[in-house]
Amino acid sequence: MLHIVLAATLNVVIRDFSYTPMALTVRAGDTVHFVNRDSEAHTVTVQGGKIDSGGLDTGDAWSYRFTRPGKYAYFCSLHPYMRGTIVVRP
Amino acid sequence: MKRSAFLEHVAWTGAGIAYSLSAAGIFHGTAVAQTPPQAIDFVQISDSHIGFHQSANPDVSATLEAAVNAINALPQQPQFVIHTGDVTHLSKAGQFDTAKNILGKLRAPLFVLPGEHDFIGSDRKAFYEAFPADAQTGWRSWDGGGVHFIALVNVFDFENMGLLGNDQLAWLERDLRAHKVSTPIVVFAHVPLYALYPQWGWTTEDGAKAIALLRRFDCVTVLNGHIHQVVRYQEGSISFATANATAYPQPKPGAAPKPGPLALPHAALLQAIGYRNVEVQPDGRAGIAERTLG
Ligand SMILES: [Cu+2]
Repeated sequence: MLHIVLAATLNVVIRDFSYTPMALTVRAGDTVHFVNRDSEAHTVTVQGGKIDSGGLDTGDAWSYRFTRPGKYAYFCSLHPYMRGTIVVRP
Repeated sequence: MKRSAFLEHVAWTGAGIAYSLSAAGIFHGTAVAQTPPQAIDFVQISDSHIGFHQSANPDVSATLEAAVNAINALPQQPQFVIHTGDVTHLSKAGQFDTAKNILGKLRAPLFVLPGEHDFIGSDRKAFYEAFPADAQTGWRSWDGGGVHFIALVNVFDFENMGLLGNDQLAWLERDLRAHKVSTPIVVFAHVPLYALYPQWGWTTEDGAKAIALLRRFDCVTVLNGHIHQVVRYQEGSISFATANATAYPQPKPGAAPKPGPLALPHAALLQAIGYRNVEVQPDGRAGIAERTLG
């Protein structure tokens, strides 16, 4: 039997100084597409790592393919009280 | 010089004058070696957010330029101009270029401190390439006109709001140790050092440790940016004052659900942005004059 697993793309929207959904579970290999729909600039910065969107202006988007399973806690480096998590399952 | 005018002159400058009679019997007045105590004045600008282009201010380059022109037109040039951070909106090379071009027109010497908007991404190269004079450790101190000036950086690690870190606090402790309690102290940093409104990140996590080191001095002035509005606060001998932006205002603490840019009609915008003139008296008291663009 042949299983074909297609990697998916999931969305996180930034609006009103928050990430929606705040917690997201994906499969290894999936891509998460972050889009800033706020009037303010934000970032997606994973804690203690090198994964960083850089500055996302209003209307900007950034995608990242999560290949390694684990829990990724991220925040906005401009407004660090903005928090989100991506859980990557094998 | 007539005697009354002479006395007035002495009173005004506060200069000590020594007298002597020369061999020829001519009366000489000679200023004594110690320099007379005089006020020192400088200008603070902040939060230019070059690259921002939303309705709250569609042309932040023009308003920064207007502030620079106004400072250059002052009848007496300030000792220096300090920019307390968020020079750019998104740390982009082109934004630093634009900011550098505009700020480069200032006639007075310029100091630039980074804000968290100048450090987006994992490295700080773009900021320090644009303003290399500040590249050694980031923080620094200098003396001028009897005042001890200290420029701190509290945006190196912004994950927990403003943070100075132990290295910088240890440096500050050593830096202050040599100074008498009567030395006027002026401190600059981007993010407010005290808990002004932590809900919006308007605080420095370990700022209380810096404040504890400053408390023994007779007169301390702490000048910040970050919150795009003037908020003054007094704690013992320490006066805190955040500055207006040159870009756009933000809501008063808690006055809106979120601290996003405050969009105002153009005339009102110009009255909410600008620069400030600071004059520090020999006793350390600082007079602050807010100058708006409208
Ligand atoms: Cu943000």
